[in-house]
Amino acid sequence: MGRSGRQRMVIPFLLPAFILYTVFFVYPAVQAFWVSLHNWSGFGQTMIYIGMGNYQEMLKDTIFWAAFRRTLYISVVGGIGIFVLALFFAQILQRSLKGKRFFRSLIFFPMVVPGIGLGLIWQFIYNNDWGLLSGFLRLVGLKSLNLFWLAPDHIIQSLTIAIIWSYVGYYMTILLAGIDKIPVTYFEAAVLDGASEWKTFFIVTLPMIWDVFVVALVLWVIGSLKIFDLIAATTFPAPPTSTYTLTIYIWSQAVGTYTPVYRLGYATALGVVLLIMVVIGVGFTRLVTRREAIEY
Amino acid sequence: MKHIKPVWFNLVMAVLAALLFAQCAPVAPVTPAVPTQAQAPAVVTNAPAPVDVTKAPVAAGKVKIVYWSMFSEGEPLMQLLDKSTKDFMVEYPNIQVETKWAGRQVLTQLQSAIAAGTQVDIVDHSDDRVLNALVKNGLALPMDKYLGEKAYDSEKTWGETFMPGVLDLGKYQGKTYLIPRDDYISAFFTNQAMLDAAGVTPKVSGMTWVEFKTMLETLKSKNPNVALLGADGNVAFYNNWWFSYLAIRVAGKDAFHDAAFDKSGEKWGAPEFLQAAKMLRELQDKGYFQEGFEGSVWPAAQVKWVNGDVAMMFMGAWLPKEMSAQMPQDFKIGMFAFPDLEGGKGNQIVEHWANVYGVLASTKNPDAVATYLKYIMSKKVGSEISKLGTPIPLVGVPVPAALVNQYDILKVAQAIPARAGLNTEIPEYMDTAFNVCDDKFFTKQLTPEAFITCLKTESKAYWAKK
Repeated sequence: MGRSGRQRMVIPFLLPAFILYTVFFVYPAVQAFWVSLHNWSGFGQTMIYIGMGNYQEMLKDTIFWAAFRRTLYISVVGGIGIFVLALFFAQILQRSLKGKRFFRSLIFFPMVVPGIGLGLIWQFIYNNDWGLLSGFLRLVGLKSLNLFWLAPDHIIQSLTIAIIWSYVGYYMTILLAGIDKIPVTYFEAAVLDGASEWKTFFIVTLPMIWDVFVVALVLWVIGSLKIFDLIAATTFPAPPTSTYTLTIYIWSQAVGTYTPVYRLGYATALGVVLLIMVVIGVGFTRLVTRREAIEY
Repeated sequence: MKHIKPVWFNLVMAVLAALLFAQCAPVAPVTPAVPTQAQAPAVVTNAPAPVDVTKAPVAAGKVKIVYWSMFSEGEPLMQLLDKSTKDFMVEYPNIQVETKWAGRQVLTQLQSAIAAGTQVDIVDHSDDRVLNALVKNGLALPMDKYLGEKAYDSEKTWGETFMPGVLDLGKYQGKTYLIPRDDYISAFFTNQAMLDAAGVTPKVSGMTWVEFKTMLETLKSKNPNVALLGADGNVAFYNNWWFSYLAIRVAGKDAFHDAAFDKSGEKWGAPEFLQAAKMLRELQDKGYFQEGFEGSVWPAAQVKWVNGDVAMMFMGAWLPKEMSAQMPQDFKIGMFAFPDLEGGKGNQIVEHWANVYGVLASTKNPDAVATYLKYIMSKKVGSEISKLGTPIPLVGVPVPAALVNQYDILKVAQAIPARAGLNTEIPEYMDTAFNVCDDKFFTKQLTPEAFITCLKTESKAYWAKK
């Protein structure tokens, strides 16, 4: 088949995916951007075109900036917590341990519970009267460490811990899949060369699962910026402003919580910014993790 | 690997882009600016024209109306409304009522329904929500005509069957749009047995602030291990009751209302508002609220109340019904109005609001809708709803036992909408300026002085961006 023949073959194969992607992603994204240029309650047919007005308002919106900071906090601090623990557990559970499958399942378990359920579980854990955490601290005589976990001073940190607990199993499973593919001879060679566990991890394991690690990191960056259900459920029925992340703020502006704010235009502008954040976040992650892949 | 010729790709992209922008372009011609609505020059664009996608067959001569409800499947009131709707259709065989039990996010779903052109004739939710969603957007049908017609099971007009003043909750620019179904005030709800044991009998209305504090001290001395006041600090809507009521008591409702609308924010600097803030902080500093109320997540404090660990809650009158499942059988509820202040400019004022029915102006069968609503808001159905513990603002319908005092309070007090109407008039201000400061103050992150400064700053910033 000649060059032009191959080109004609490629187009029909690409077209279905291209059309689907355009209709279900590009078109809604463009439409969302269009809506974000309007003042619109979401009710009725009348949208008032205000150009970049919503974006200009966002620059002066202190709640938006606070939500932006909290979103980044969860993404960065939560990400560090998740990947340190996920790598730790993955390193331990790659060995021939008794009950290895059980522990893998146990750590993965939070991922099979819906976010709403997890939120309610954590609401109970953090309850200062009958909650698990406060009860445990009282039991072991550490009452002085017992904080009001969901009070404004601590709530984002508390939610970040809940998020780490919820997601560590998922990323551990991805990393374990990468580790399992490393030929055992590399580890044996490291042992023969006298490398410590610590050194083996850094010179064998991590470099050889780097591509898997980067994929997991990108997935986390995307997921962390969009976390909603766990925060909404833990603080149900009305997340206080001290817990507003970008997604919660979008929700509150689009459909109102207790106060009937209906600003679908502004909420959509916030959504567009979130989309841009995801793109930048993924690009930045790819940039800082770029290195030559090791083939084996 | 071979690449597709750029010309192919460019052509496909150009066609798609043209299609996309054609889709996104305004459907109607651009009309002149609306200068008050936006920062940038404003023009009005019409969203895509609605398409009626409701094609459910209806028997000839029979009209169909569609009711989207704030209740979810299985809720007691849903079950009763469902049964009443079925009874209605037996009595009025020419009207078919299609119900959707959409739950509390019914208005969110309505946004999509309106955009898609789906037929919805009736929705219900709280008055401030329906007013902001439908009435202010010109999507609601005025009901004055029907309120002047004969009621379902009374010789009076339909409007006359409602308790005096309650229809005002659904008025907007002189017309009555919303039909109240169940109405509520905010008040103190007590563990009556605890108060009785302490020999305390609060006045239903007209208790002074001094008497209130004396009562709290008496209760504290008799029940040292019980928190006197319960609060779930995660709900801004509940937190801001305290300062709002106190500010209205001290400064008057007009001053409170005007301060929120002051574009400079300086009106919050009036000494009355600082006094109100200090009065609330005094209650907190004396330890009257339960320990850790700042981090208490709804309904933890309410559970403590029914368990006897909290003496009273300041709450909407839905509280007895909301907690009825967790309440011990012998739990006795007391109820009294927010105390008055010696020399206060806003005494004997109470917040009053309702869950309401709103009728969409797009309804093709307004008469059938009114017939249905007259039936649901009749003495016959209202009495059944009342038996569930829900207060119905219809003359002659029995009041649930726990809420008898609600109507005694309303008889002597001036009823105002939530937060002197600010929740309805400027919900965005309340959400993004007032509550931001109030939440921090209520949870003790700000001193009273810093709270007032915050209100001034946030108000000014809010109005500057409008």
